[in-house]
Formats: sequence, structure tokens, C-alpha cells
Amino acid sequence: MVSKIIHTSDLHLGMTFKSLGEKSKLHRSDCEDCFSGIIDLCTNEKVDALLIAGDFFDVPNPSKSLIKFVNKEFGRLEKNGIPVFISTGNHDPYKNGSVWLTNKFPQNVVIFDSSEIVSKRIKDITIYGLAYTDDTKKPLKGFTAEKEDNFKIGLIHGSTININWDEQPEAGYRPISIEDIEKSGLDYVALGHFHDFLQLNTIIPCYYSGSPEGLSLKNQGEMFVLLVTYDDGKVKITKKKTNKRIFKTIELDCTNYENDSQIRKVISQNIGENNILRILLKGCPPLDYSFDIDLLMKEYESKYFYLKVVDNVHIPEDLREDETIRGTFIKLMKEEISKEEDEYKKKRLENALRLGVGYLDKRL
Amino acid sequence: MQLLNLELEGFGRFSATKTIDFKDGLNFIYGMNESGKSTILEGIMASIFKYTPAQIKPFYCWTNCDACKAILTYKNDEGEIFRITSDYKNTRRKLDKFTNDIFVEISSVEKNVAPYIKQHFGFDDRKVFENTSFIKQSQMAILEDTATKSKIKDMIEEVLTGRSEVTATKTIAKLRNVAKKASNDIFEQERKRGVLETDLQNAIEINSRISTQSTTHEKISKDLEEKTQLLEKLGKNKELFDKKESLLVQKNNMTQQINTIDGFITKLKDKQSEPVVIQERHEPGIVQERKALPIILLLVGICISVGSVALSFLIGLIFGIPLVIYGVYKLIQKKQQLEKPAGPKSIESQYDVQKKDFINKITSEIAQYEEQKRGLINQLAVLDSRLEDYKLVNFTIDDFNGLEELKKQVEELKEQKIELKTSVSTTTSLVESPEEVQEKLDALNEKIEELQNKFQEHGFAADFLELAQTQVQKKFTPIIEKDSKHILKEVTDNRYEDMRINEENLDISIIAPEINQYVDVYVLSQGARDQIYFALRTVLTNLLCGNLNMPLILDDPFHNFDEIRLEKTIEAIKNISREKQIILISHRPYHNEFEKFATNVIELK
Repeated sequence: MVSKIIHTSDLHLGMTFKSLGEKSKLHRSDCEDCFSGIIDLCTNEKVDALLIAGDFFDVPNPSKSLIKFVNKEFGRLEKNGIPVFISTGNHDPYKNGSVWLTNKFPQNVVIFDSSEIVSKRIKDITIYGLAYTDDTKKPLKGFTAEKEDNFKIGLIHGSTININWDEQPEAGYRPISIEDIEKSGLDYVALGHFHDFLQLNTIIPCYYSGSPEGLSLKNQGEMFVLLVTYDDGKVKITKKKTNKRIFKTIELDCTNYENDSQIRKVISQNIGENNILRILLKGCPPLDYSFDIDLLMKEYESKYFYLKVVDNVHIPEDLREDETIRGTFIKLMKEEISKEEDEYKKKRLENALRLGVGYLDKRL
Repeated sequence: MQLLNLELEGFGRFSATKTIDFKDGLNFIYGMNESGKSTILEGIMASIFKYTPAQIKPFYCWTNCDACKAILTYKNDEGEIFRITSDYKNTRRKLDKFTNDIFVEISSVEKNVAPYIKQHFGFDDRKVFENTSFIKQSQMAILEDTATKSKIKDMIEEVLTGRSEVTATKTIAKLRNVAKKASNDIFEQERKRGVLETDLQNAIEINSRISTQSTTHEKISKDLEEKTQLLEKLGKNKELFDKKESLLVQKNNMTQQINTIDGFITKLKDKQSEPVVIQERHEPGIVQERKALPIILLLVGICISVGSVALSFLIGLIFGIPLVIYGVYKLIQKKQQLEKPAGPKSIESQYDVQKKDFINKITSEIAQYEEQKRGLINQLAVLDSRLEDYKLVNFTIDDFNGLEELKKQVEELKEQKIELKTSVSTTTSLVESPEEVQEKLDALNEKIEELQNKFQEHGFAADFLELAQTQVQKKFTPIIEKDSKHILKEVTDNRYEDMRINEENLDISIIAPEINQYVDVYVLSQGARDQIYFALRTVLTNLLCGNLNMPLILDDPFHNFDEIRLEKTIEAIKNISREKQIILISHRPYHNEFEKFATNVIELK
């Protein structure tokens, strides 16, 4: 008997996107569309269950309209007889007053409501899951699954501790050690918490599905849900692309730029109606080159889902300081800039220098 | 500093190589329009300052596309000779130094070339050069506009600022203006933010209220469900109870009926066993009664009659006598009836028949009753068996006391549920979700931050520019005053000497020898103003070039001068040319005077 499930996590439904400005609302609805797409996928693939490894909602009390939408989508699975299993996450913990208790979900939605691991069975699958309680709990510590022929899955929201701490500073939280995983006796561990796809280096297949739709500029490129099949003791994982929008960040060193042709080139090369591009301008371009970011934005904005050019450039080191007022202005500002320790204020002063020179040179 | 030689190739007008030698003192270059005068000036500048591709483009020669070169040879104040070769086709600059009779390359790397040039020329900013060493026709022309009093002042400020047509004062005003506008915008946006923040609080509150209402809704739904189930169960029980009750009533009725029938039967059976009595035609009781009535009437009549007579109340006779007569009549009538005899034989046969009928009748009645009773007993048995089904139904009427109350509660709950549902959906559709408001707030906050940055940055720029202006003006005005004495004396033939410049607003006044008092420079004649302008430009050039004796390049500035003005100017130029190299370019030979004292006259053709 072949068992088939879809593993997803960290949908963060209802999340608002500060970095996307006025496009936030649209992307919020993209995330909802993406969820609908997952429901379609479950139906088309005729899976035995949909597994959600936490942070399904972005907040414990999402808005009524969102709950209504979610109930409707779960209802579609109910009609097709597909159950949903949810281990809650740190963003949507199972607690009094949270959506898990105030809302009546359709019959097919099974929410793990205990802070200890419990098992739920469906057909030939046994799912072990637990509700989120606190940050420090080690979810898999000392756990061993019951010996049986069923497809045994762990559905857990937490971080795996044996990873690069510098790149994943959140890793210390709800730690799951490789040892815990290997001792668990599970056939597959469906994890949630990290927003990018991640395969752990374990004997027991253990994956982070990542968010199905990009949530921040840290997410680069494609996002997935995982279609997991279990056939005669063998686990097979298939990545299914789910994202609509593509997040991308490009850094440009403008030190030797004489004009914005390089920036234009990069912007035109990455055009796409679903692309979210952030260009970080770095380096120390000459003072007589001023960036007209507004103009660039006006020109290219409509060709992107969202375009943002971030001015992070500094002033060049070898500034001309003659005896004129202009030269003295540059000299005084430079002195002030070098004295300033606060990065934010430093940038303001640097911009003030560019502005002053821009005005004096009649470029502004 | 002295320019020695300029060589242009494929540059502007000059497709072939054009070489111009410069000498000390006044170099007078003249020619018709299109003879290449401007090209020579651009050639000098394109050597000193590295032009960008966009800047050099207009000087690509349209008849010689292979080269675009400008080679400038000059002698610095230390007497060392250098050569800058700018090859714009290959975008390279090379600096050579004349050593031991040959030019030796110092560098061809721009990074290394630039500092030398800056050191030799005092600046590497073309604008500063144009403002100091380079006097254009248009700059002299503005001096003629006496309506605008501040031209010389503006010139000083422009030169001090290091720009052309831009002064620090105007720039500061512009920057302050932008900052002020940003500050107004911030005020406006912060007001909007206040509104949005309230909206957000409301939205959060309403969402939590909706959430509470939803919880209540769920609770009520559950309660309703439970109570409806209870009501249904109780209803069913009540039905059973009612049926049992009605059966019991039926049973009672039947038992009573049976009892009644039993009574009848007993009675009938008693009658059956009693001796048969002939049915008499009269009843003795009734006869007695009827016999007594006439006697009473008779007695009453006699009494009334006797009483009336005795009391002489004769009217009483009217009642007494008829009563007596009626009583007697009735008595006679009764006596005759009693004396009537009945035949004995007919009585005997009548009795037998009657008895037989009577017994038959009773027997059949009994049979009928028995039949009826059996039927009832059967029915009772059926009832009992039906009641047997209700054996377990042992409610009392008290058990159903709450039924009506429960019905009421269920109805109330139903209403509440509908009300809540309507309320929730109305609230949800009426107000924006917290997410939406948050998004608006985020966008607004970003806008405010941008505005604040704009405000701060423009403010900083204005502040520092003001500081720079004060410093520079404070530093230079006394020097200008001091240094101008000598030049002023020279160019004005000893007429003017003492100049005063206000360090804050750069107002210029000069001692008029006639009254020995400071007068505003603008009250002086055109010729005097021109002379003073030249003197100041020369002083400023020296000042800003770090006291390098930079050549003065004049691009046809006397174009529109009348004879008197030109004469005065020539005098000034002549005097200045004793101290520094002057390159004067003009489209006409002007005046013999130039040629007289010019050390070098070049005619372009």
C-alpha cells in the first residue's frame, strides 16, 4: 500500500510585508492563493493527508475574513476526504484565545493540542505531532515511535541545532538534535520553522519544506511543498514548486560608475511581472555622480511586481578640497562624517554632502 | 605658472595638427568666427581637466576620426616644464617632465597624473578654473546691468563658492526651502499617522471583539445543539408518557364499564330469581293520595265557609262553598272507581304470559350484558398488553415541568445565534482588517522616514554650507582687501586703493578720493567698475589657486565695450600683464593698443 502526503509549513497567512510597501496587500493575497494551490495539489495528487508543520498563521488571532477563507479551503479537502494535520508553531501557538480554540475548523482538520508528542492515525499512516508551548522545549528529546508497519511521520515545528549558527541565528530555538532524529524510529520527519527548503544530513529523511511562497528578501528563488510517498518502507521526496513571486537581491558596487547605465543594465536584465528585486547600491561613487533613484523607479517600477533600489553608497575617500566654499563644505562635512559613530546619522551626513555638492554643481 | 605650447590634433576645428606657442605677458589671439578660437580654449581645458566621454564628444573632429589629442606644455612656478598629453581616442592621459632636454614620462595612469596637475594648477575642478582664470564675455556683460546692483558681489561669492552662476547663499536658501517643505509634509503625514494608529487600535479591538463573538457563537451553537437534543428527547418521552396516560384512562373507563355491567347483571339475576308479581293497573299509594285530597279540600271548604259565616265575612263563602262542592264530587267519583270489580280468569292468563315474557327479556338482557362484558374484557387484555410496552415508561408529570422553559430557551438561543452571526458578518464587512490598516501604517511610516531623512539631510547640507561660507568669507575678505590694494592701484592708475568687503554679505565699498570716504562700488562709473572687477578677479584667482600665478584667459570679454570703456580696460590689462600671463582671444583686432604691448599676437585663419 502506497501512502502519499504533502508536507508544508510556515505559510504565515495574514503576514504583512513592510519591505513591499504598497504591494504588501497583494502579496498577502498571493500567500492565500498559494495555499489554495496547495489544496488543489492535494486533491490532484489524491494524497492521504496534508501536513502543516507550524506557523500556518502569522499571528495567534488572524482576522475573521482570513479564518473564513481557510475554513473554506479546508472544507474543499473535507469534501475529498483528505485530512489535515497541524502542529502549531511559535507564530500561531495553541493557547487560550488563539484561533485554534475560538474557531471551529472542518471535521477533517486535526490539530495537535498537547505539548507532548501524541500519535494520530489515518489509513496506513501514523503522525506524531505536538503543540507549540515554549521556545526552550526540545520536541524530539527521548522520543521513540511505536514499532509498526505504518508510515511513521514526525510533524514538528522547531530548529535543528547542528546547523550554521551564523547564517541561521534563530537556530537555538526549540532545538532538535540529529541524535534525537536518528533515535526517533520515524520514517520521515516533516519540519517547520525555517523559511527555505532544507534537507538535513540524517539517515532518517528529515526536511524543512520551507514556506511555499517567498516571505522576505532572504528567500531567494523558488519555494516548494514536499510530496512524500511511502512505498514498502521506502520514502521518496518530490519538490513541488509553489511560489508565484520571485524574491531577489542584487548588490552593486558603484565605486567606478560614471552614470547609472550599469544599474539600468541590471534592472532591465531582471525584469519580470512576478519579480521582487532589491538592488543594493554600495561602494563609493564620485560626488559628481548623483543617483536619481526616483527616476529609475518611475521608469522600471511597472515592469516588476516590486522594485526597490536601496542607496547604501558612501562618499569617495579622495575628495577634492580646495579653498572655495564648496571645498570647505566638503572638508567640514568629511570631518563630521568621520567623527560620527552612528551609522544611520553617518549616512544622513554623507547624503547631505552629496546633496550640497549636487546643488552647488547644479545637478539638483 | 606659464602656458608654453598647445598642440591639438583631430580636435574640434583642427583635423591636422595645430600648434600654438604662448609667451609671457599678453598673448593676443584673434580671428573670424569659426576660425577655432573656442577650440583653443577648450583644448587648454581638455588638457588640464579630464573630460568625460559626454563632455569631449562635441570636440571629436568630423574630418579626422583617427585622433583626438590635446597636448599642453607649461612651466610651473618653480620653472619646471611639464607636458600633458590627453588622448581622448584611447581615453588616456600622460604626464611628461622636461628633463635634460627631453620629455620623460612621469605617469600615464590617471590616478597618478591627477595629483600632479592639481598641484601645478591649484585645483582640479574645471568650474573653479572657469571662475577664476577664465573671464568670459558674458561675465563682463553682466557688469553693464546697473539695475542689478549685486553683480560684483555675486561674482565674488561665485568665485568663493567655487561655482559659476551658483552662490552659497542661494544654495543654502534652496536647501532650507526643501527642508522646510519636508518638515511641513512630515507634520501633515504625522497627523495622518495619528488617525491610522487610532484606526489600527480600533481594528485590533474589533477583531478581538469579533473573535470573542465568534467564541460566544460557537458556545451558543453548542448549547443550542445540546438543548435541542434534550428537547427532542423530552418531547419523545412526553409523547410516550401521554400515550401511556391515555391508555390508563381507557383502562379505567373499561373497568368502570365492566363494573357497571356487572351491577346490571346482578340486578337482573336478582329479578330473575324473585317471584313474579302481577302488574297492577294502579298503584295503591297514588289512590290513597287521591282519596285524601278531596277530603282535605272538603274540610278546608267547610272551615272557610263556617269561618266566614261565623265571622260574617260572607265573601269567604265564595271560596268555601265551591271547595266543599268540589270535595264532595271528588269523593263520590273515587268511591265509584274502587267499587268497580275485575274478572279473576283474565288476570290468571295475563300473568303467565307476562311472566314468560319477563324472564325471557331478562335472560336476553343478561346475555347482552355478558356479551358486552366479554368484549370489554378482551379489549382490556389488549390494552394491558399494550401497556406492557410502556412498562419502562415511568415518568411522572413533574418530569416535564421544564419542557416549556426549555422550548423557550431553544428559541432564544436560535435568535441569539442569528443575531451574533449577523453582527459578526456586518462588523467584518464594515471595518478593515488589522492587517490592512497595518500595511497602510507601514507605508506611511516609510514615507515619514523618507521625509525625515530628506529634512535632516537638506538641513545638514544647509548648516554645513553656511558654516563653510562664514569660514571662507571671514578668511578671505581681509586678504582680498589687503591684496587688492596693489592691483587696484595699478589698474586704476592710482585712483583707487582701499577696498572694504563686508565679510557677511560681501558688500563692497571703496574710498572715493574726491571725498576720502567709502562709497558703494555701484555708484562708480562703468569704467571704474570694470577695473575693479578685473582687479578682484586677479586677486581671487591668486587666492584660490593657492597663490600660484595662474594665467588669465580672456574669452572676448570686451566685445561690446565702447571706446572709453575699452581704453580703461586695456590700461588695466596692460598693468596686469606685467605680473601674469594673459591669453586674450577676440574675434576682431580691437585696438592697436593691444598689439602695441602684446608680447605675442596670433591671427587665426
